[in-house]
Amino acid sequence: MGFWRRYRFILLAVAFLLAALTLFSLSAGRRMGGGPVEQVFLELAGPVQEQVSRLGRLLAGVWNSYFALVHTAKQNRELKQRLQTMQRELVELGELRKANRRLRALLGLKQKTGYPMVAAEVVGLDPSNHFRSVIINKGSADGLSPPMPVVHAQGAVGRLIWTSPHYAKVLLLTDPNCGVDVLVQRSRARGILEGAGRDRLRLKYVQQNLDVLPGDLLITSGAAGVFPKGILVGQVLTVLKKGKGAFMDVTVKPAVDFEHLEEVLVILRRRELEG
Amino acid sequence: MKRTPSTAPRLLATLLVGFLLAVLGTTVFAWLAVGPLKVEPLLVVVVSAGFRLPFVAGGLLVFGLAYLSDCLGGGILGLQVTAYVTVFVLCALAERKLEISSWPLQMAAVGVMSLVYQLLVAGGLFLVERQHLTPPRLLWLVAMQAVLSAFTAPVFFAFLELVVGGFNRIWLRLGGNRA
Repeated sequence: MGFWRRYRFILLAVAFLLAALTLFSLSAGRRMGGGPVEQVFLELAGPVQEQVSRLGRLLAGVWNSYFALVHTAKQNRELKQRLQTMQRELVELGELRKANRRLRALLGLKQKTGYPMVAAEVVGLDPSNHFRSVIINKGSADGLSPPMPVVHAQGAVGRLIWTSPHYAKVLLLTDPNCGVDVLVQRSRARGILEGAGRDRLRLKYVQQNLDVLPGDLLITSGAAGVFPKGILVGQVLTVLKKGKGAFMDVTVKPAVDFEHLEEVLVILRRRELEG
Repeated sequence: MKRTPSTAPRLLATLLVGFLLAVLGTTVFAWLAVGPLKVEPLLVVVVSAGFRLPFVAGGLLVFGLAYLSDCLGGGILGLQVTAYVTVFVLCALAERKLEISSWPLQMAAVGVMSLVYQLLVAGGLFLVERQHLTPPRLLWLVAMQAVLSAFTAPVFFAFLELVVGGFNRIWLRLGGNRA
């Protein structure tokens, strides 16, 4: 009893840290979660994220269009009233036109790839600056399961890592944990593309004697079984050939603008190498 | 878990605010990011729990909130849990000698704990991946993130204390003791 009273804090602190470290080491081994607890958390947070995201987009639309023009409308009260009415309609039409353009592009991609796809909205972004992931508003109830590939009209986005019934988490290509087997479209040189921070990718394991130049386009090779072949991934920015190393150092700009990702398509394709 | 009636309002308020800030961290605060730097509202909740909640109840609450944060972001489950629980334990240790009642102390506590949190996450990522940000850029990012977290901390502390005050009033009306 005296021992417990004396060392209670230390013992409890060690217990908490051990529990956390056990969770980390178990997860680091199998890499991704997706169990019932994680599903419950996603289902709890998802609706709040969805509503806040919608509200944010609405406010952003109002901010970008209404407030930018309100100063000129002050010159004439009558004109202001008319302008406000027209502006509101214009915002709505502009949003509809933009959405239409994005959805048409997504539809074109859907027809081109030939795989069944599910369209989803991005409802949450990663809160940490160390990871790159997003939450989308479609889940296992819509037929989604890890590690299905996620794409956009501009190119590959990432892959699913967890799903709950109505939400799913997408690991973006820019995350250091995300790797994709790719081909240089021009020379067919092959490598592994990995995330290298906010808006950069790194092409690894490309031998020094292979033909890779700045400006080359990279497409998925289809070899790792997650992405279908031929999806645009990015464009080579710089190629650095090291003196003694076997591989060259290639930095790549992703094809997708991850900062402005609103809608995505999930390809309903299970890993072909599985089973 | 021994939970005295007077700690219940603070515990409930911290849970509610923690959940809300964790979710807002994926939406509003993610949109308001300054380049790679993002506000860390959950870190303030964890620091507050370390200084102001009983150890067991606070530890369980921090574990749960960190798990939620891990579910909403990041690719390795348990990494943020480990980092946040470490921060919580350090704050609970510091609480024996220090009280963070003034905003400069709150800023200092959150700034230091942000450094600890960032370095633990970066170290964990390095252990798993053996490749992350290069050290000079990492150090710059960690330092700037700590500064941002420190400067925004009093706002979140004030918000949390506002909610705790509200919960205390409800608790008193229901016949409980004040925290």
